[in-house]
Amino acid sequence: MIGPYALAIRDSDITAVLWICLVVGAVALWSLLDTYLVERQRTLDVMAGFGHRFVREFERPLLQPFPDSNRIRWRLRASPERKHLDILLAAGTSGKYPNLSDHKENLAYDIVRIERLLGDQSFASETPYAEGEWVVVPFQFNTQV
Amino acid sequence: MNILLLSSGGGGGNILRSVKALFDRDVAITEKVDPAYAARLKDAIVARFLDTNEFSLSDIPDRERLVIGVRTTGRLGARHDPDVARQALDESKSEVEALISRYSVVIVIGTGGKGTGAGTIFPLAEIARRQRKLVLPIFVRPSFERHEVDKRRYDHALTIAQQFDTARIRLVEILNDRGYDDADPQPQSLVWERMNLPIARALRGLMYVLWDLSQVDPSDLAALFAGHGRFRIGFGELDPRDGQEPSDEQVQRAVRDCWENSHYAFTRPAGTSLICIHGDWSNIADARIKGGLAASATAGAAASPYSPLYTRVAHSPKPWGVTGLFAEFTGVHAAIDVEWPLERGAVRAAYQVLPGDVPRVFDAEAIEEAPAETVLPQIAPRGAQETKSSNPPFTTLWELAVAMNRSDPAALAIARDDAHPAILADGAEVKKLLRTVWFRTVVPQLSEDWKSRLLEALVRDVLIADHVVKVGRLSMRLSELTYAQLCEVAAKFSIPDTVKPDLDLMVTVGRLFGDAAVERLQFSDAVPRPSGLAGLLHGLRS
Repeated sequence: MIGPYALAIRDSDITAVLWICLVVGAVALWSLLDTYLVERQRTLDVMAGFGHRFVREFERPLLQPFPDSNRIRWRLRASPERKHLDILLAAGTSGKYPNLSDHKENLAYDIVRIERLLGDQSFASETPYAEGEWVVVPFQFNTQV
Repeated sequence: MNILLLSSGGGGGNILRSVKALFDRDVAITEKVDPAYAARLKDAIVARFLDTNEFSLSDIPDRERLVIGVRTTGRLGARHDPDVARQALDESKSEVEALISRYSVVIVIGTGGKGTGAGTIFPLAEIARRQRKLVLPIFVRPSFERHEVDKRRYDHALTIAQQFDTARIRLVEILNDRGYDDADPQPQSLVWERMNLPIARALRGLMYVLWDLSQVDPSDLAALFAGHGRFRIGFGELDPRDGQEPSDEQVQRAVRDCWENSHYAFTRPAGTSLICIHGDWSNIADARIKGGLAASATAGAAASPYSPLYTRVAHSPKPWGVTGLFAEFTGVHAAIDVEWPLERGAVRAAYQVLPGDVPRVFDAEAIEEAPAETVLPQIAPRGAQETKSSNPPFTTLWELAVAMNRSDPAALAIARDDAHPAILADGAEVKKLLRTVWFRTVVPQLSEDWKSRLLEALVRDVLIADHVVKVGRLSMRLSELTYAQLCEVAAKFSIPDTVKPDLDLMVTVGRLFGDAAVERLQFSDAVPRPSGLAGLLHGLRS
């Protein structure tokens, strides 16, 4: 026997199920988004850490013996989705290095030197290129964080 | 003291050539007004050009060449490899060690450019330090930004400076980068002269100080060179009109030139520093120079580690001015161990051939035309007597001693004469002189009259604290010891710091004036004999 009460229960079940699905979906989506964001942040942190170490070692010989001198300018440009890091370097107010116009070989030497010194196999350098006043040193990040 | 200027490699050789040329130019000027002083300058400094490449030394006289590592390099250079240069030095080590051993002060000059200089400058400095020489390395860091070297060699040059720091050998580090000024472009030759002139000029001042050690205590010099860090050499020229004082503006410029030298690595505040002033002007002008340098060095800070050692060169030929050897303050360090020569060598001998005072002449022609008798008056006892009755050139014993130590003919004449009553001999001054190392070489040149006069002054004016010292198991007062016992105590036993100066003074008196002189010394009874327990404890401590 199907009475009006049975129909009412069926409607509320559907609503409940829909609600449950919505909540589960939202939780799953939230979880996925959270995982993505956490992983992205972690990748960014790793890239930033590498970038900072690279820059610190790059400028270390240039700061001797004047540690407060403004020898280089730098910034980082990271794309965690593409696992790509660009380290942008330019000469500061008191220097001429780095530039690709007359220090291409010195820059190549420095990149190899610093890569060896840092010993981080997860970053592989690519050919540097000029972008306005900046020298861009691109790196591909190869390891899952 | 004699000084060895030793260049290493092509770059170091170029600097030494330049320094030598500038130095020779100054000596040539000096020769016109004071040939004896010029001869002394020339004799005191010896240059040697060390290299692995014989061809780069082709313009150097044979006696000044030192080719190392003939088997290693075939006389053809180190192939731009510092390791090959180091091997070449190892091969010729005994020859280099023998060379360095003949000098008291070794100034090593090298660049971090290619092979020989980069590979040998630090080992050379180490050899000199091991031989307890006063070593002053002058190291040039090349510029890679201006394409003197590539970045790899620049980085290697940085490691050389670090080696010096680790070994606690202070060095002058010249930064070639600083020689390029985009706002004020200059020819390279002019830049090099600007970099090298302070070294050449400062060498005159340093040579004067280091040559006889009469103006600066050796212990102060040992402290100046102690620890790691950088030196900076500076020279500020002062050329006032004849007989006039330098103006404020001239003093300020000289102070600025001496203090500011942007070519050098020098990042910390100045600590112990050697300031040498030479020129004929008043002590007021000296004070202005010292004040100006102190103001620059302390930069107005109330607590500054700047500690200047001042020396004064009177009656020196031009160029006059102020020389500074500033040391970075890197903390308090134990003084380095230096073997100070008590015997003076060839320089002194060369000076002693002059039998009397040399009149000041003002041009080269005057020297040639003047009859020998007039230029070099003979010193006869009678002549010296006449000098005594006239105005004496030295008013204090200290001035006389310093001049004697420089082999000043007038001073030596007075020293060989009867004791000069116009020169005051104060016991306290005699005591102070006896505590210096250099004065011990002066005393044997004094006449017997002079010696007895100095001893009289010492006995009359100085009371020595009658300390109690342990001689074997006995506690004895200094006054009770014979000269032989004093020597034994000084050599064999551990002496408290409070006793050591008085004991050393007594030993020096015995050595210079004879055993009997020690017995004439006067003692104060201020120091009580220790109790039995205190004596026992002292015995345990020592």
